[in-house]
Amino acid sequence: MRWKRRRKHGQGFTQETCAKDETPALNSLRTGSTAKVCGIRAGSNARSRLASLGLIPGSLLLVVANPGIGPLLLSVGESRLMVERGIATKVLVEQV
Amino acid sequence: MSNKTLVALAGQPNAGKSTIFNMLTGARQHVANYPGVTVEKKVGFFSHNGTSVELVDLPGTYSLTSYSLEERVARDFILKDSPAVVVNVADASNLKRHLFLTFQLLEMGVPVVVALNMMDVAESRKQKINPSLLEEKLGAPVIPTVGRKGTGRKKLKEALAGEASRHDSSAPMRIDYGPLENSIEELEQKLEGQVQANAPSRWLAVKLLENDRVVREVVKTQHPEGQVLLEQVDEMRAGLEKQLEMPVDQFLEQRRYELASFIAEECVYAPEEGKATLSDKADRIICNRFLGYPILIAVMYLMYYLSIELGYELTNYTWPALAWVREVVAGLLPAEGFITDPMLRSLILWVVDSVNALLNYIPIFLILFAYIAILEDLGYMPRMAFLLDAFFRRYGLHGQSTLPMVLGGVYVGGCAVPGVMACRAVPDERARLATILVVPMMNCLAKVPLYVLLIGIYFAAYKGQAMFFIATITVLMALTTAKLLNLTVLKDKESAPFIMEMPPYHFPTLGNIIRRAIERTWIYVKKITTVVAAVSVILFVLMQFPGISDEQRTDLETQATEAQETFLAVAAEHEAFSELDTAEEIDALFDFAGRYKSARMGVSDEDVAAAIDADFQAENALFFSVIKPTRGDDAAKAVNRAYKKLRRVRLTVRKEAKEITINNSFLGTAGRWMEPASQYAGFNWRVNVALLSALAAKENTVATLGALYQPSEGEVEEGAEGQDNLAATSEGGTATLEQRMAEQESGFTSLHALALMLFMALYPPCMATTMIVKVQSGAWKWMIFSLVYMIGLGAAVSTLVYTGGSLLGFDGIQAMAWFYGLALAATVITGLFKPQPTDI
Ligand SMILES: Nc1nc2c(ncn2[C@@H]2O[C@H](COP(=O)(O)OP(=O)(O)O)[C@@H](O)[C@H]2O)c(=O)[nH]1
Ligand SMILES: [Mg+2]
Repeated sequence: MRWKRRRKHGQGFTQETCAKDETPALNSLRTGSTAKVCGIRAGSNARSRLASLGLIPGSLLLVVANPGIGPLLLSVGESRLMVERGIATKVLVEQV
Repeated sequence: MSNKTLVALAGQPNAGKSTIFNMLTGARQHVANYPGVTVEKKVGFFSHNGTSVELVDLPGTYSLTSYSLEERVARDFILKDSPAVVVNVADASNLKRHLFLTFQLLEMGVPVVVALNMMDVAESRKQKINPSLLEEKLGAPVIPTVGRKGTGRKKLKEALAGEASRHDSSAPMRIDYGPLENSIEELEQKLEGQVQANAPSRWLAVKLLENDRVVREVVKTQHPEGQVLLEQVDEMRAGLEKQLEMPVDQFLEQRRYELASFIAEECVYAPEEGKATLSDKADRIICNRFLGYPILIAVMYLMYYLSIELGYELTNYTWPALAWVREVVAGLLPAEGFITDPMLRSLILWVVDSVNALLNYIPIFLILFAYIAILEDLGYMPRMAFLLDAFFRRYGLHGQSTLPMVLGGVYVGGCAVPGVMACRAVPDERARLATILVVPMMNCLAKVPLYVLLIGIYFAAYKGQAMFFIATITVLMALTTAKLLNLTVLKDKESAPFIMEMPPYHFPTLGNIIRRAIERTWIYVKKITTVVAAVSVILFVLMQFPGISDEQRTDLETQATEAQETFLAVAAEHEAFSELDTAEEIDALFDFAGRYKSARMGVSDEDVAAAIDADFQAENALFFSVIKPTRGDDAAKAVNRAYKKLRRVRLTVRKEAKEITINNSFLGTAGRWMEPASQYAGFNWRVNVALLSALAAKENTVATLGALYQPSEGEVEEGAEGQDNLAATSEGGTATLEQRMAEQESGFTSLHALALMLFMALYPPCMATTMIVKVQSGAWKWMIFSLVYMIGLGAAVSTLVYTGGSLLGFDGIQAMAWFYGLALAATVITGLFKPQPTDI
């Protein structure tokens, strides 16, 4: 099930729909690249954890380390987060 | 005067909760677990203006959902124990994210005081923060603090007192959920007054829309029309999801998040958000896929080196102190008898020896805990988890399992007690239990003497390989076991996705490190020594009773009396020694000799030695000349020779008495009783007894074997007596024990030895570890399980190796190679099983 968003919420906070189909997932980003989250397909447990750490659709992120195996290290706002690879495959991003 | 106020401390991990906790309470705190779960509960006390405050450190949580155990524990505490105030420790330098939790606390309707911590970090990042505006927005007091420096302590206490004594119900900030408001209101009305949950109806309504399973359960059981209401909620949610085009919980999260960014933007001016910091640059190296691992190994190696090697050196200085205590105690007790000692003396010395054996590790623990505190303060732990998570996850463990495994002794020489204690850092219940259950399999320091002993006798030509085998086989077996446990008993336990914060590097502070090292060592000493002392009493009884039969005693007494008479006859021949004419005199002589020996023990300085000699000579010149005849005094020489002969007989008789005692003892009986089964693992009754005694402390194994394989003549008495300094047992003591064992167990082959080593590796944890398993897992059930499964596994593996090896005609080294291959294959195969999906 995919959720499309067209709405604008709140102050200065925009969300866009992921471009159809070929949207890349977070795990495919190289170390050093920046991206914007456009959709999270994980279940509510993982999604709520991501949200509480500041990773929600619309967030900007920088990949501090993507070693190819194991978790990824991200920079989101002032936080640095480790995200399991399995979860990263469910976070859809747009390169910016 | 005693109106006690309960205050809870909540906050996201790494917000500085523990630091604020210590700032408020100082040293007055104690650590336990929340009932029934593996989550640690820290409670402290302080008083402010005559009110005594009980402060409870809640588990660090990013949010307050019902998805993880920690979050549920934190939430339940707030609901069920209704603290007067909740202090929310928030990181000022990362306000937006920390407000996310603040909102959820406010929504629960508890009075909140925000400790806006890490103000110094925010400042160094050139952020400008307006606490009073924040206070206004949140409708709750906001106190800026710097936990590390103790800044803001007084103001925080005042705010706490103010909030606790306030009786007017405040109007905390209310989050506007926009399109959901109608539904929330509708639910609120239906819930009002119907549910006893100590929380506002609005919170319950929001949680129902969020599909929170705990709140659903509460409503289902408490609300008169719970079932109907839940169905309505589900319908409502489905409608809203259509309207919002996203799951309701996601919408709620986003709404909170938007509000958090809005408030953060108003209250914080942050010029350089998102810029690569020094920490990021360091992480490029430390978390690098190639450089990260060598650094990790170096960090681990340094830990072993400093604590095990250096700490070991230090025990050379602390052991004499413990030995001195033993001597003092021994001096206060009734003196030794000729054949057996008075019961009181044996019992108390036995307990002292057992406790000393563990206290001997204090220097090691102090260094170990200090080093860990440094790593924790630096922020290296999460990096370690990052590097190893992929590997451990394969086996149902967690990146954070690294430290417990290393402490337990991944390579040779750890201790399961701090290892299991460190498991609390694993933020995933299933992985945490798995780690608690396999850490005792690692090679603790106390297992090493047995390995050294057996390898020295039976694998002398392959020492290096055998040591490598035993050190790495335990890791292979632990990984396989962890995975199997995951797929079976732990299958239904909760597993959290690995999404964690990587806090920036901090520079450790000396005071903090010393405090924590001492604090943890103290916990160890307190918990362990009491348990070990109690268990050692039980063990003593099991090994001493029912004791020597009258017949056997008469036999020994005849031997003793004969020897004594011979000695007295010699003494009577010499005028100067004719005073030595009773058995009592002989006992006094041996007591004197014993005290002299311990006084001279370890004294190498000649002047000091001479002074001691003079003291003893002054005390009893006659005895002194018997044990140290002066040159040219022929009479004394002759008596001394007789004395030496008598001493030899005395030793033999005493050893024999000891052997008979163990033989007759309950433990000896149990050992023999187990022999029919244990023979398939290659263990005879003596080995069984040694292994049973190891339940109290692993050091006992070699000590008991020492007592069982009686030395022949003229050996130092203390060597075999019991738990000597470990160094002595593994070096001095075993050198001869090796020969004795090889001599007396001619049927024992390298295959027996291999089976015994493997059993030892998997053997149930010692009592101390068992207690810690209970404490950390929060349940007797897991403690018993850990004992039972390890004994079962140990018995199965050693039986497989011994019986299988015998049938195939292998010798020890062949069986070793085969078993290694099998274990390696099992590890690889179990690793291939897909880890359980963590995304619920
Ligand atoms: N610079 C700075 N560091 C702090 C402050 N408060 C805590 N720390 C450090 O932040 C780290 C995490 O703190 P801790 O109390 O363990 O966090 P907890 O996970 O919330 O219990 C430790 O290294 C502390 O020394 C503060 O106000 N300023
Ligand atoms: Mg803490």
